[in-house]
Amino acid sequence: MALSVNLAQINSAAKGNSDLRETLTGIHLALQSLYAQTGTTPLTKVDASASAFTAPPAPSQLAVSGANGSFNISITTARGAGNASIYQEISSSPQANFASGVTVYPVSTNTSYVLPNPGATLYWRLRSSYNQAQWSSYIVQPGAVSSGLMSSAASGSNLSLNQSNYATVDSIAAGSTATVRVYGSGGVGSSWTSILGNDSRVIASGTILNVAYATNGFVVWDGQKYQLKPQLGQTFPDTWVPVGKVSVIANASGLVLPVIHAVVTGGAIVAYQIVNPGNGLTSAPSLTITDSSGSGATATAVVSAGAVTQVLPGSAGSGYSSTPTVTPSGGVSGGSAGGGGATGNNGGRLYADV
Amino acid sequence: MYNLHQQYLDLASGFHVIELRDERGHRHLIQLAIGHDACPACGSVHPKNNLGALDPAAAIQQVTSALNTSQQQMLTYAAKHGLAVK
Repeated sequence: MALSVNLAQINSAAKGNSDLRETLTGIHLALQSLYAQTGTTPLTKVDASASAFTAPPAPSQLAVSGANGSFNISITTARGAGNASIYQEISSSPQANFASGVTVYPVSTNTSYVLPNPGATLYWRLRSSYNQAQWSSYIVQPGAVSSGLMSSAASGSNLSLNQSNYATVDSIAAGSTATVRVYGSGGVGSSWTSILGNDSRVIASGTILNVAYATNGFVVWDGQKYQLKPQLGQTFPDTWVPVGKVSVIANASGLVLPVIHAVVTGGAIVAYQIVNPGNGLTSAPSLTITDSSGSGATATAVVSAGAVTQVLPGSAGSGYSSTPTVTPSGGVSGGSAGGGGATGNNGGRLYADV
Repeated sequence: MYNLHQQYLDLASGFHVIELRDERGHRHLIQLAIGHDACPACGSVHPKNNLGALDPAAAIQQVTSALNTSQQQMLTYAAKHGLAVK
């Protein structure tokens, strides 16, 4: 359709802007002259309301790769008529046929995206449109793409991680050194579970021998074995799993376990005598009662100001000789029984701090 | 029952690592600390001064025996009550 603008319309449109009026008038006159010379319409209207680009463009090309916990998406567009903008709609699914779990990302004219989604494996597809109404057919990325795990180097400083574990760590006396044990809810020798985000894995139990008393440090699982470190650096390998903070307490800390005798009447233990109340106790030591003939007796120690002030008889048991042995162990707050024994040697404690 | 599966020296961390496995694939690690804790600054590990007194074979025997005693008690229980062991 030929242009039909006249000079009066140009004057009206310019609204007193003489520069604009003169420019438009000059263009108009030049076009009129060209039309007179050639007999052809030099310029036609562009009607924005016309449906010039309603048909969808040819499908664009999609390339998806995964690295460091993110999907990297690159789109190569097939340019349409008039260099019109092409809208792209990306969607993903854990299923190859996109039957369920489909995530549709916001429509955009962008041709590259970085979508963080650590540890995910997804199928990807793309469709294109000029007007977001008529869409091309889907282009599907061949095969599933894994984003991989995000390394700490790629995350912000002091990122909070959903990490926990069900490990128990403690230590027992072993002569001149201590033994540190790492185990699960099934007791010594049972494996434990490490939780990291949605991921979990079972890790073997461990026994660390020849550990010096009064050692402070941290137990970590390095993927192959345990390591006992005096401290953890601000950064450590992503493959390491923190297990527990260690504080092995030796006798040198001032801990003295109590000495307790049992009082036997008719084969049953009816009372306890505190021969030495002990010192430095921060929790009640466990009391184990052994005898050459009797069994079944239990008792509980009460601690105040670092010493045993009372022993509460539980079951009296039966068949006891006149000299059963009462063996205290532990006695350090937050911990399970240490090495214990008649020597009062406490193997130390490992404080879980995870 | 747990048996010795492999053992090696990890020079970087200063551990004599001993891996026990049972017939069901359960693992237990015995680690003899033969080096001092790594220097926080340089990470180097130095040998402890009691290496001559260490008896790895005895340590393996002791830990293995404790694990197997515990496991045997459970297996005895299972046998007594006719339970399948998985």
